[in-house]
Amino acid sequence: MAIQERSWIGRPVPRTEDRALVQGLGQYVSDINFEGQWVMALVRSPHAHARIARINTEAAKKLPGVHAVITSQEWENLRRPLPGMAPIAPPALAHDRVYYVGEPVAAILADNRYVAEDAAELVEVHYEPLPALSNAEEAAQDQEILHPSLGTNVVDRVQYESGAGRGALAAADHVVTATLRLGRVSAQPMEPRGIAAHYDPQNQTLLVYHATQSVHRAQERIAEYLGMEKSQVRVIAPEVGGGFGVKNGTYPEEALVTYCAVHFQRPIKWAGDRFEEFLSTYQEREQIHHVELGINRDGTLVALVDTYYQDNGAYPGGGMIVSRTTARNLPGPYRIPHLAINGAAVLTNKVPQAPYRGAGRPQGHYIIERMLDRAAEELGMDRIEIRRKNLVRPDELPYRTGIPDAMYDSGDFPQAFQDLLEAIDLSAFRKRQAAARQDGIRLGLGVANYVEVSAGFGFEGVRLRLLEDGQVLLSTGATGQGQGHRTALAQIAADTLQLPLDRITVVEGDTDQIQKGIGTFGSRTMIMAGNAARVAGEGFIAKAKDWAARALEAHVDDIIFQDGRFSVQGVPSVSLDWAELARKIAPSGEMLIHEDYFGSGTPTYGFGSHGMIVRVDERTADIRIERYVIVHDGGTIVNPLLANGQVIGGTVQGLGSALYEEMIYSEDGQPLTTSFLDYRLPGAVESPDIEIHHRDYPAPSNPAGYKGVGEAGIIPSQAIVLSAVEDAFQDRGLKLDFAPVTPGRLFQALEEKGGFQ
Amino acid sequence: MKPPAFQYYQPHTLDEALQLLSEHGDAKILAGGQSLIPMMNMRLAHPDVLIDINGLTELTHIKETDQGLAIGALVRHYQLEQHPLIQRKVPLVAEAEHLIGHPAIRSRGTIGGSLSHADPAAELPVLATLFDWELVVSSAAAERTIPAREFFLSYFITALAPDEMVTGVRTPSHAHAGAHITEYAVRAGDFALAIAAASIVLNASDTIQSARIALGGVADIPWRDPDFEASLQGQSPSPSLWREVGQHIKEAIDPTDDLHASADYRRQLAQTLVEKALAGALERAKLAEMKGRQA
Ligand SMILES: Cc1cc2nc3c(=O)[nH]c(=O)nc-3n(C[C@H](O)[C@H](O)[C@H](O)COP(=O)(O)OP(=O)(O)OC[C@H]3O[C@@H](n4cnc5c(N)ncnc54)[C@H](O)[C@@H]3O)c2cc1C
Repeated sequence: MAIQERSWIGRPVPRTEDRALVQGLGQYVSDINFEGQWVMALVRSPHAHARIARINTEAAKKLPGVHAVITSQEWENLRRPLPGMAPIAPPALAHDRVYYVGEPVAAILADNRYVAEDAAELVEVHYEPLPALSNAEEAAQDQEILHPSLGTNVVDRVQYESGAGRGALAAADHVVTATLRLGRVSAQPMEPRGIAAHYDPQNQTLLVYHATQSVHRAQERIAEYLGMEKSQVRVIAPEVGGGFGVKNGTYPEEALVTYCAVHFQRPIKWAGDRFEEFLSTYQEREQIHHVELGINRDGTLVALVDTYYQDNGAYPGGGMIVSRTTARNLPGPYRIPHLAINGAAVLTNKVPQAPYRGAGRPQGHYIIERMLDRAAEELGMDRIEIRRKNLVRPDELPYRTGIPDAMYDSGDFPQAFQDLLEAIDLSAFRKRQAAARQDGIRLGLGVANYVEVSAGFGFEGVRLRLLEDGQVLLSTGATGQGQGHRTALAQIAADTLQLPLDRITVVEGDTDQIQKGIGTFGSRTMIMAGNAARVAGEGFIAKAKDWAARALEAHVDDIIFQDGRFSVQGVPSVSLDWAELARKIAPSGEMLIHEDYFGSGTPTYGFGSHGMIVRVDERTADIRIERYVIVHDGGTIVNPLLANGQVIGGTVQGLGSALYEEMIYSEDGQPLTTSFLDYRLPGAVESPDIEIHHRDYPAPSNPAGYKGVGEAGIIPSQAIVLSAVEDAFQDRGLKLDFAPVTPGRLFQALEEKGGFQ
Repeated sequence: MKPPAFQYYQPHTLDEALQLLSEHGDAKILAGGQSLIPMMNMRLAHPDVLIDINGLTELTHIKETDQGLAIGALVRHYQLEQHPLIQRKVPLVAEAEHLIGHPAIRSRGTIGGSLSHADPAAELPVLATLFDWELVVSSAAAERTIPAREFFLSYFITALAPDEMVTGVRTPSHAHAGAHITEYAVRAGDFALAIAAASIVLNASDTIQSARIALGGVADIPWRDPDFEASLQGQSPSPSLWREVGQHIKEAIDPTDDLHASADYRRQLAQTLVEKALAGALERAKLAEMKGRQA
């Protein structure tokens, strides 16, 4: 067995999961088929807001191949609010009112999805349409209250004040005001949501395959809803094809599938399709901000005052996390002595919001970065200069932003920005831009700086088990969705255990494999599970030493572990490697297992700077990206291939929400962009080559120095794209206040400036 | 996204297919399936009967005729893109193919399906209109030809009777030498927001002998105005003339607002694309003329 010569950490190891995945061998929920299973399809509301007068299921029930048609009018149990959502939660099936297009009204159980969809068409639901709320700012006035039990549509408020708050505006030389908006987006993971459940009546246990980001939270919700013990419910996340935050919360389908599996004692499966992904999977980003920025003549920021409304959709979803995280991200990496932030998450008749990659980080940065551009223009100052002036300096670290518990702890923000400008060669660009304009070609430069806050709550665990052949099985509750954790966690364990990478197998997302877990979201897994892998590795070695001591007939204190071998101090000639140790343990019938957890209440702060050059065709309003440069700090990097994948993937996803993607709703709450024909994700042709320069400042708040990297790419994208396009039309005074800037919107904005000239 | 149940037939000859079509009222032809199947999966189309014509080898020909080419309805996009006869005789068709969807779609989708589907933002209907293709149409009872300009009636509606299908097209190779097509689509492979295609034939004196202009995406059918084209005869081609033409067309068309483009935006796109298409066509017409003189 070869011993690695150097650390696995920092090595661009190709993903161990890829061999199976690229051969199509990955098993996703839709590939799980139980003997005798029934599949579920749902009748979903076509109205944004309506009263349900009555439901006739007779025709649907009679269709051959249909086993049950379920409504909560008949099944009172399904009217109960779903667990895990507060202060108000939807029922599994709507019974008297529907609150958004796509809300489940009836469930069909049938032999296959074809028959189930046929039956769904036969269910007659008589609706009495009600006026729909589709504008958050109006809905916040509470003229019409969606859920009377709440007494208001404002489901959550976030308020922060630091320094003199709003009062500080009076002391600023200028106050720049703007109303800035972000459209609604949909995450659209490649694999839609899905869940399959199998009940064993003999043992009274439920086995659930679930496309979820957190098996343990799902286990808790399911047990609570069904009135079972957690120990009776095993949740496994097989391969999960992307999550981005939206496979993490309470959904009606989870309750319905598991409830029906127990009730009918039949395996039940629901594999959501793309249409359902548009109609029912939680969405994000939609906010409107009224901002006032106080600034002095020399460009020094004085105060930021922001009142905003988040269109949270019909239920809380996980939207409150988004509106709160927005507030915490408003200062960005800049020094703003006075803050007054007032945000409202408002219920409307749309699909609920839940965190989607970034989850408030992009929104907060969009606001501050857009406002810096506006302020620069008002002061006649360079957009670069105003940023330089206000970036938090390394000598100010640790720096408190003025928002409770937000403290930037490491790095050098101005240097990263400077490095970015050098990579772009700012002065050469300005010359090229001027020359191009002579030829009628419009180039624009966008720059933005960001911080990426990650983790900062809870724990995550790792369980290590020595197999008989000397391999080590590593399990964690941090359920991945394609990030490559099986590679990265193995790298960490390989270092601690001094084993080759291929001797470690990682299992993610199985409640039977580890007691507790929180999940993979918010860029937390390397920080939490990565450190847990180290801690668990050390405990595992300690236990292994006990066994080695017995095998080598020595005192445990004399056992040393070096180069992957256990030996007795002073007797290096007699030693055991992991495989030999495993063989020594085997006859005892016992197992070498160690489970350990890492917890931390301190978030990490990665940071960086993005720069992009766009080429805009004034006549077609087409925006092409010529260049995209990123200076990125993600702390100690376990695997640069994976980290780059995260940064590039996030950036491209961000370009989608900056240039193309928008869930458009009509005024009466009808979603209009419900297929990939109308909801445009960026493709390979639209994606620029992305140049990444890493700056690896270890996080001071965890032993390994890991920081989040999953959201870095997406944070500045909307800010930077709008900034670059404005820069291309600086002479025309173009001002953009809506993301995404689709060609149609850019055309409109240019028309307001006199159109093509 | 599963289609409702349907009866499925797989005829081996055209006669069989036409017979089936005459027997079943609510039957649809299944060609490449690139438009029909998504519509069925979204339950926007509920045909009772599908007649799969993919086995009809009689509809797969690309043949030279006196005027140009005869192309079978089942010829796929990728063949139009790559076939040497297409590239030589009707090169603008091969060029337009690069603008249609993605390779996966082009490997299945057919010329007959594309024309019969009659999407006004599709490229082939625009070329059919520009070059006055003739569609060969058959029923169990008879065969007839329909000129392209009489074939497209409105969004997704054609002059085909319920018992008729397209078996092929006849495309003259005339006027291909000085032709150009250009469009604006938000992403590569998207349906265009607007398409402009133009062809120019020059007189010996370098004035315009004939000019044709067709647009897609700006009306319920491909747009063309032969009277306006006639007014260009005898004029000297120049950027300023193209600007005038662009301006005229911008005002002549009457596009509607939709999710992705306002009517005004489409007008500006049409204007821009027409200028570009004409400039491109002229350049090629001149090149063709030079080659002609050398030969
Ligand atoms: C993602 C995507 C992007 C696309 N982008 C473009 C694009 O940019 N430009 C473009 O032009 N197209 C585009 N398409 C459509 C593509 O070109 C299709 O091939 C074409 O629209 C239909 O051809 P088909 O052979 O697949 O027809 P089918 O889908 O099989 O049939 C379409 C319709 O035509 C009828 N039909 C088919 N053949 C005949 C016949 N011989 N006689 C009578 N009726 C017939 C069918 O009954 C049906 O109603 C795109 C498609 C997709 C999925």
